[in-house]
Amino acid sequence: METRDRKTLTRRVAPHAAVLLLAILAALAGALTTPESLAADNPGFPDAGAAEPAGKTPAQWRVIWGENPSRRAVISWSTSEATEANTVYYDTVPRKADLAAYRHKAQAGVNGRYTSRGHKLHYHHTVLEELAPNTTYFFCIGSDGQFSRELHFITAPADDADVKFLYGGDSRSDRAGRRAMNQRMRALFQADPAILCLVHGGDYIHDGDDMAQWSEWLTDHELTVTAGGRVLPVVPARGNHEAGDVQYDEVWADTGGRGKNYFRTMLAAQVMIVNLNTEISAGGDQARWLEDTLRDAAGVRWQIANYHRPAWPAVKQASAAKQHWVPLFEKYNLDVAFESDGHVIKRTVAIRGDKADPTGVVYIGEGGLGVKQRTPDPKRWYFDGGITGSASHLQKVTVTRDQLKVETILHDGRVFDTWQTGPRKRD
Amino acid sequence: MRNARGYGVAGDVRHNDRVTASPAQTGSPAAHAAALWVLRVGTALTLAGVAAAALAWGSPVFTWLWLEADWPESRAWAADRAGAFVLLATAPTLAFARAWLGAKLAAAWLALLALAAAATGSWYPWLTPPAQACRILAPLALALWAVRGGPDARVQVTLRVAAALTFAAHGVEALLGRGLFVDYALSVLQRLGVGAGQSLAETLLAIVGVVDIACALALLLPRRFRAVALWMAVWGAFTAVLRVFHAGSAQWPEMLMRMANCAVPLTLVLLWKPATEKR
Repeated sequence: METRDRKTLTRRVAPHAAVLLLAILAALAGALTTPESLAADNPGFPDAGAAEPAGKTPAQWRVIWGENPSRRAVISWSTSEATEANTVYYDTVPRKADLAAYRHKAQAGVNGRYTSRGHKLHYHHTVLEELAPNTTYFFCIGSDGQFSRELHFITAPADDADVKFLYGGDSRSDRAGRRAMNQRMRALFQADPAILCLVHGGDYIHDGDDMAQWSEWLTDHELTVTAGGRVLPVVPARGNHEAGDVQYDEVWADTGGRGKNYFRTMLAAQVMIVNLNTEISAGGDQARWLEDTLRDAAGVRWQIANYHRPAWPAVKQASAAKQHWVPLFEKYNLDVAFESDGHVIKRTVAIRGDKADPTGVVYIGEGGLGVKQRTPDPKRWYFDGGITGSASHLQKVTVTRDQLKVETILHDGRVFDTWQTGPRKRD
Repeated sequence: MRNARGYGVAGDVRHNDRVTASPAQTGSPAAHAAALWVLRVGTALTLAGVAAAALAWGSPVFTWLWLEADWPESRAWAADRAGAFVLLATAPTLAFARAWLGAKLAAAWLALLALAAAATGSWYPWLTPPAQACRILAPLALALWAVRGGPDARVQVTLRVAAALTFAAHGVEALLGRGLFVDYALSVLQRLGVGAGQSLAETLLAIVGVVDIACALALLLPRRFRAVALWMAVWGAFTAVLRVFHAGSAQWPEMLMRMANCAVPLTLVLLWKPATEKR
């Protein structure tokens, strides 16, 4: 009887023991065959911050650029309390916040409370139009009798001028790192006044519907303002962490159209950036718009793309951009595409028709404005001749008549990589 | 050892005695055996697809452990790969009813993957776990099938809930106009030679969404709508294959991991096959 019980028990337990043993062995095999890490550079950044908004005092000021930054800009800010009178006073000469002295003023046309479950914060957007190109505008923001200090920004040139801008993405989940990168941007911006703006590749924060996180981001963005009060305008693109969230449009003033968020930005007469949205249909209206835009801009010397999820990732898998946009980039000979999302540094070899081709398109990224960095996969074929790396970073882009240069700059200011190209022939 | 209905189950008397209810109210043993193998194969392919995707591109578990739980990258990678290897190892064990522990382990890891995906920035994160219900619950249904000695009411409820949740979640995604789905619809219309714009694709998608939700609701009714389950199986297979059809052969892991979306309703179709009486 006992023997039978033991046999029954053995018969019952044996398969489970075998499965458990198999699972443990498999888990060990998986863990032990993990490729060696490149030891991603994720230093602990010292914390440095700006104050959160309080009362009716204008805070979280920012300048947003869309289609035509030589003529138009949106000045946006937040207040903790709801306000009635929201005005931007502006002029082309400094007035030291003497409101009566400013030659122009514009009311905030769009005001409201950010959509939020619990965080009370109000947005104000003022559109400045008919601006003069390549001109410094000094401005002071007022909400119900509370005022900001005087700030300023420089409009983009409208002629065939040389331009510089910063590119970066993924500032979402390492606040100290984000602040450190904002300070790096400020240092670059102060050292090189020719820098016009920041082109952001998306994933500003972790939860796109969490206004507390947005508020932190917006407050941290103040760290990019130079000591002299120059504001770094932002050209925004939508990332997957704010994929379907209305707060994105509330923060960025519906740039590119509410929910659509794709648009071109003319940084100068011969420098075009197409800002795309990887979080909506890539192949429908957006692809058609992209083709029309690239075809119509055949005479524009420099053509650049900015979008979030990569066509040629250094980690993870390719987004729909590869299928729907890459053929158009190749057809119309785009100069360079900036991608984010991967949390790595990458520059691909020039790609055309799914293979390396010197006439192809180079893809640079991939998100390092304040997020832990991954170890990339350098064995992917499109990095044979390109580069990969792993450290918080941004790109500084210098565009002249003869050359487009992209420098990948690390959090400590070192230049990690430099790539440059000459103008292409376009039909 | 096989029980009276021919199910390959852990075969001690006490175990079989627990199966007091009829394993299923309809269907011949042959149909039930076919259903079991459909579920096994579908689940095994799903496990292989999920594992392949994790090994090739990393999974949400890695992202979650590394970014949210603040694990060192190498340790998060090791855990992610360990999970993928466990899925690969458990896939063949699904063929053995007595080894139902493997199915449960796989289900647990798949559930963790879905939760991690929801926590790490997927599109409408609350839709991710229900959208993946088929792949999570299919191995669980297999384990239940083995433990209970056949596809009894609990097994069938598990399968029904799995398919219903997956279809309902995808239906909601379609109604919300998920960009990827719009691109799929455009791709199908273009291959059919319909020079369609995005608005037509969105309209089509809205219809698909309503149909998906209607199917999900129908599957939860007490009455068995075999035709509905059959449609869901066909649609599940079609939408899985669409990944490769639309974006190329490199997407094969994405196709495989969705095989459970076809296998689960197809299992119900087979289980609900009316038994033919022999004279």
